[in-house]
Amino acid sequence: MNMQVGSEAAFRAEIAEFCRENLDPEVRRQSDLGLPVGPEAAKAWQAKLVARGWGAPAWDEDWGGAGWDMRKLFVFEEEMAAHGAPIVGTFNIKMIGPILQAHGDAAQKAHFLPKALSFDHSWCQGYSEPGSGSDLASLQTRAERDGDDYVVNGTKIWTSGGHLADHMFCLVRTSREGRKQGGISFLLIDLATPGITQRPVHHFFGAHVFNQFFFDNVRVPVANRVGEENAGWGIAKSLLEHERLFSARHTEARRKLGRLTRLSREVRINGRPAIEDVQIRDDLAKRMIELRALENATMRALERLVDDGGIGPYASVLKLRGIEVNQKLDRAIVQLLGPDALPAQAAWDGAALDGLIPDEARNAAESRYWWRGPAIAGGSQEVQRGIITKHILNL
Amino acid sequence: MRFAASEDEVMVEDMLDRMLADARDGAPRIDGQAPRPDPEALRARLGELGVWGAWLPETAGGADGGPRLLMTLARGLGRVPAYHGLIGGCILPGVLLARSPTDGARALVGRVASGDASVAVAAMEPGARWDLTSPTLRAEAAGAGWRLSGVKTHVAEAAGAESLIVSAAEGDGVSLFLVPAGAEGLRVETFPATDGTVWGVARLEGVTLPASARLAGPEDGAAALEQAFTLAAFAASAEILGSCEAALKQTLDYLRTREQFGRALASNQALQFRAADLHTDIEMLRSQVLGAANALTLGYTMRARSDVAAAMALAVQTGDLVAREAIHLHGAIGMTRELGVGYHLLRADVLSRWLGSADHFREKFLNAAEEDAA
Repeated sequence: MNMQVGSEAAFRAEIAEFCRENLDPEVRRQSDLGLPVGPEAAKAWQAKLVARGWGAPAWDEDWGGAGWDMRKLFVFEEEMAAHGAPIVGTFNIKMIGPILQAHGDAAQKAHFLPKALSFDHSWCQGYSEPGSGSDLASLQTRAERDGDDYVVNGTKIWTSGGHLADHMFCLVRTSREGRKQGGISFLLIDLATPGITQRPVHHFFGAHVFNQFFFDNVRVPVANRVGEENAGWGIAKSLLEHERLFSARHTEARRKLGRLTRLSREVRINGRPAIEDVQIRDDLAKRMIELRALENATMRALERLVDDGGIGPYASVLKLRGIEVNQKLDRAIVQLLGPDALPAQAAWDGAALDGLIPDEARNAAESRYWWRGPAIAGGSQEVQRGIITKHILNL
Repeated sequence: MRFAASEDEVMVEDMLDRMLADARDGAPRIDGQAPRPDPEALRARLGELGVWGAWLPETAGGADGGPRLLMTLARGLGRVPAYHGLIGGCILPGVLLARSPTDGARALVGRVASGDASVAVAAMEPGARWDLTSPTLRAEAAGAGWRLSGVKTHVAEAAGAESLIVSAAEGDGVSLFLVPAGAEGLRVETFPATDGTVWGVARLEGVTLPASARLAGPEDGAAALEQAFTLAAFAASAEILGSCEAALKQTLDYLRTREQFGRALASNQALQFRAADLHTDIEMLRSQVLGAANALTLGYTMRARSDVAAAMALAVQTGDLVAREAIHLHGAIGMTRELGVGYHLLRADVLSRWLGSADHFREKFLNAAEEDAA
């Protein structure tokens, strides 16, 4: 189904109605505050999406996809975020699902795809390693053939949500010949396999999202290799092109702007609403204008994607600026809150502050700390600048 | 509505780039300055090509080109250092005349659109910054007509204008009057601005006008000025976009070829990253200018006004940054009038001093956005 201008408004209204009817207010509140909603709420929400046919709209229709064009997929995600839907199961829906559909064999698809869709499996991504940093292809975890198995030894780190996952898709070194990118294979690993240990890697502000995994002679069936041996690098890079539009992270920024705008009316400075303060007004206008330009830039990218099938290095422009916009919004929220940004997220577990500070203060400081990460992950800001330099500016 | 340029827009862009490059290359170097096309000849040429006022509606002598065509034109003019007078000599009078119901306005607007008539808009006053809503220049009824007294400053395209559109306080409102350059009691003096353009000060001492000279009455004058200066800001943001594109291109060419310490400047990561950041800023400006063009095309709404204010706020900021960086990355040669890359800073500055600073446009943006949301 293609997106016409008139039907786009109707589709947006359909999504709004779905969210109104199905989204638990507490879940909505949490996701508006940038908080993870937890595995149970995520699974319940996914069940509702699947029942509506929206569980994995970008997938092939055979596996539960909606058969939408890229514009419609984009509108779907944007509108879901606008109505406070939580972002759930990213590794299942955005990563391993599309990779298996493109590169998996029949048995792998039949076994893994339905469980990825229903969240019966929970996937994490095993790409990064200690020391590999932005130079991902330098990874060292090795897999050696032994009969029908690979024997995996090494370690993976920065594994987001790994402690909540039961499966990992993983890049491993199967050859040291030639280019380093050419000796990497793509394996699916059941985390219950003997020889795997996991430890938390806490964020500097205390959150447990990251993990490190150690592999000590872990036997993984060769049948769990996706694609040919040593073809893993290309597979990992073959992310869906429309996902690259979300490099701008503009939907998250839009939520933050909503929070900042609400707070600027609620918080008082010298007895007057903050929004009447000249400096606060100017800062708010700066944040709004940056985001509006970013949204227009994203719409331009969508148009290019529809026209040309890809956006190329333009994604680096979106990522570079999108993360800056998000970080500045986080900082503005904290600055506006002033002393009320002092309590940690855990303060909301108790009742000491009930009714004394705005609910919007919850997770404000932590969001700011969390958002230092995206500037480092997925190719640091400097890597993006390098791509712009080389592939756009031809310097 | 699409962002990408249509085939027609690409044709206009190419034609402008060729025409402006020819005009520049054919112009004499005066005092070692980088050559600039002669403004009169430029306006006449753009008129002949039918693009000068083509953005105006057909009923006003244009070709219904709308904001997209205006953007293409202003952006093209920004790419080549040129004194063009588009904003002061076509957009401001064009909007005001097209909006006016009088016979005089109808007769004149077509000639403004074709570039045959030179009409200036005198709306700014000493010490009033960008407030156009409370002029001290007064209009009083005199017989069947009007008598105007007061001072206007920062009048673009005043030199050689055959008439001025003057804003005046009438009762509690602002009215607009068409004043012939030869009117008794009107004195126009000119002065140069920092970018080399020529501006005027208009002193009116008891200038008497017939009733038909009033283009807009006190109930509509301020709104008419707001619309004219909104479109002016939109064109200025597009011109600054073109200026940024040209300044970055020239700078990148220089970084690729200039060698220092035995290697091209472009091989230094510190300079590469600065260029990448400038490119990113320009992409955001381009996106917002396009967004504003599309919003204006759908109508002169609060949403469109907020988009224009956002575009100009970004343009002032980005134009200033890109121009400063372009000078710096060229090194000492960037300081010279002969190279001329500094023109981009002069021009971005003058457009901002004239139409409004970044924070002025941020305030306009927020007010319009709040009204749009309400």
